[in-house]
Amino acid sequence: MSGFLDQIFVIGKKWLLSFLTGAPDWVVEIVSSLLNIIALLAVFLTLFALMSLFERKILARIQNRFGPNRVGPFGLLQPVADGIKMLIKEDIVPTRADKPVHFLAPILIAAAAILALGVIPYGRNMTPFTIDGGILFFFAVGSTTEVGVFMAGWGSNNKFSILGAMRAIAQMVSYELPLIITVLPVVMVTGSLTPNAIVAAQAGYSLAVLPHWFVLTPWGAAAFLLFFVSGLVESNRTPFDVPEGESEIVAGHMTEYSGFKYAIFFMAEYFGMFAVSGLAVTLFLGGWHAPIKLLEFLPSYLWFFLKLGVLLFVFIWIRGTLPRVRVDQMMNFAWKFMLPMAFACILAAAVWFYAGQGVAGWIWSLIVIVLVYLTLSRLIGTGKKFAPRTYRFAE
Amino acid sequence: MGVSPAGFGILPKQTFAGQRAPDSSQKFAIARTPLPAGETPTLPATNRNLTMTPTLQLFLVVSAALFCVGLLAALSRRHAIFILIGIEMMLAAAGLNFIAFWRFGPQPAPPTGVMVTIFAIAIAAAEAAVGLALVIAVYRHYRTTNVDQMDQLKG
Amino acid sequence: MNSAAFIVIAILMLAAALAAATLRKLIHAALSFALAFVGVAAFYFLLGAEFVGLIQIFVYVGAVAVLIVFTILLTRHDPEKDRGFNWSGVILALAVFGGLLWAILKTTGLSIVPPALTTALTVRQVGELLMTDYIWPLQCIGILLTAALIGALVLVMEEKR
Repeated sequence: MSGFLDQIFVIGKKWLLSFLTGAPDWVVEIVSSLLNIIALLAVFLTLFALMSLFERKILARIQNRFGPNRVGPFGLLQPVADGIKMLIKEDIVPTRADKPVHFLAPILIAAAAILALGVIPYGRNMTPFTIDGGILFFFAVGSTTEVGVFMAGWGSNNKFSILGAMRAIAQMVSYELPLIITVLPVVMVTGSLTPNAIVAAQAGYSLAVLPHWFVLTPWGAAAFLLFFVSGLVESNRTPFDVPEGESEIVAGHMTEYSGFKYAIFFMAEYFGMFAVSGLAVTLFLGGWHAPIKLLEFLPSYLWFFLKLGVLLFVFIWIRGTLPRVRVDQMMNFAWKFMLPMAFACILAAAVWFYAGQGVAGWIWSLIVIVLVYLTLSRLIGTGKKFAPRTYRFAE
Repeated sequence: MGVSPAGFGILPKQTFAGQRAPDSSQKFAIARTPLPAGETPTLPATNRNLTMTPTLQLFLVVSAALFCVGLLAALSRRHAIFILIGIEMMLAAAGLNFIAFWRFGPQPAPPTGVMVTIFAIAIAAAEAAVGLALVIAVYRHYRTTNVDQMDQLKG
Repeated sequence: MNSAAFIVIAILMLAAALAAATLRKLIHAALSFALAFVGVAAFYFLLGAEFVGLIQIFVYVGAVAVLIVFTILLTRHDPEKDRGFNWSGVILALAVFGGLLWAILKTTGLSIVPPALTTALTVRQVGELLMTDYIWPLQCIGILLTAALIGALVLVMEEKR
């Protein structure tokens, strides 16, 4: 029974495809891909709507107030109201804007984010597209977001937009390196770039209670933290939302967009969050595996979305708690701390792997990580930069 | 498409006669061979893998076209960045050639073509970075990116 | 069906490349340049070299296109329009294309269909080759990229007066 529930979507898709038994092979393949895409879009658009509501409610609770609670029971129909509002707003395009570039920019950013969602395994046998270099595909597609951001900034013919776009691209390019290098220890230990293989390598339990997730190793924990922070930056979330900081640069590259195009930017940001969280779950948190052996009867996709929900809650929590980071502090952090720390994670993973993956390996890799961290935090020189301000008054 | 894929490879003599036509309609002309009467075009059972493609000549023609478009950009524009764009296109065309020859060679082939292309892409990236840095440095001095005006060795 | 894919990708790529070479506005040319490289990457996928296709998108569209776009931003001067188009370049390019086309079509050994792929090229194979047979080129590429990085930085740094 639990096996049936686990594979219910796969069985459903096979039943739908059984209507096409007479058709040539390429038709079946195209229909199968289309079904995958439709399911993916349906799930994630619903999740986007729910997430936009829950973000407002959770932020509100952190700030000691209620969120939207008037539109439906507990405000559950608020996304519908938001959607209608966005759709009926007037679409203002500046007169001297570059029309094709201005139009295509949000589409490109949203398309890149949605493409990245296609290679993540959502459950047992439930990966929409299995590509041999799946992780590489994810990052290749994610890096095309920068061109889209530039198009948005340039196409608006607005100095704030161009400045915001340049800052956004500088931020995204700087943090792409730690993002990718922190994935390397996982790929190295697993020996494959396929997300399915990485999830399969995290199967199994020690003592029936401790899962073999990579986050429970010292290099995995450090890499997960670095990956998560880089993911925060890549999706332009607070505390790294300089590109869209309202008080600084009037929404940056998204200034001249109104109505539905702004909603698409919004959606692209959330889809980027989903993609990065999904990849973090796949790489570090064991994918669709259950945490303890007893709970394996629950369906695999349920575990995946549960873990995804926890990570998204942490995203929102951080947004409600931390103030914005200054641009030069952010670049400093990326190049002087995160990049060397990411390399240290690779070293620690190698030490763990060759010291036997048991307790000895754990302790040795922990020593490597702690040593590098202490050295870096002394060397980064935060004393001068973050010291309390001294005021000098005119005498 | 209405064409038997087996017809792609068995063309005895090309009807091209040396016309150089950079428009893409000529590529269709190669592909049309008359079907034997009563035969419906089906994919042959042995060649069912998804990457079944037209002949090597078509690929080489396409990459030659890309190379020449890159040459066009490099030779006929006066803006330094356009010239760099043209050079990048020429490098990509060469990479396409390598991969085409690797694929059409006797299988199982050692992936030499793939490795060379990977290195070529890395070299192209390095060269683009240095070239663009040069353009910025020269712009700071001459305040122009028109290569016709960068004609003095004395800085 | 795959010949249809070939033709579609070929048209897309060549149209984008022509647009990149001939458009007046530099930004449009840079963006269609990125599109042309997506077309080249699609060709790599069609030919069965998926790893190279992904690297192509990663490096060219994700890095080189962004570099070019940044350089365009940093070297803007008004008026924006390009000063002149050299028609002799067009004639030369057409002549080279004619020569290459003649050479390709004369070589009869090239009108072959692709042999069936016995084994797909996996990332693992590429990785193993890079670490065994191609270790020297790999290290040289590393040094080259480091030199290019440092060189580009040195070129662009403002001179301290």
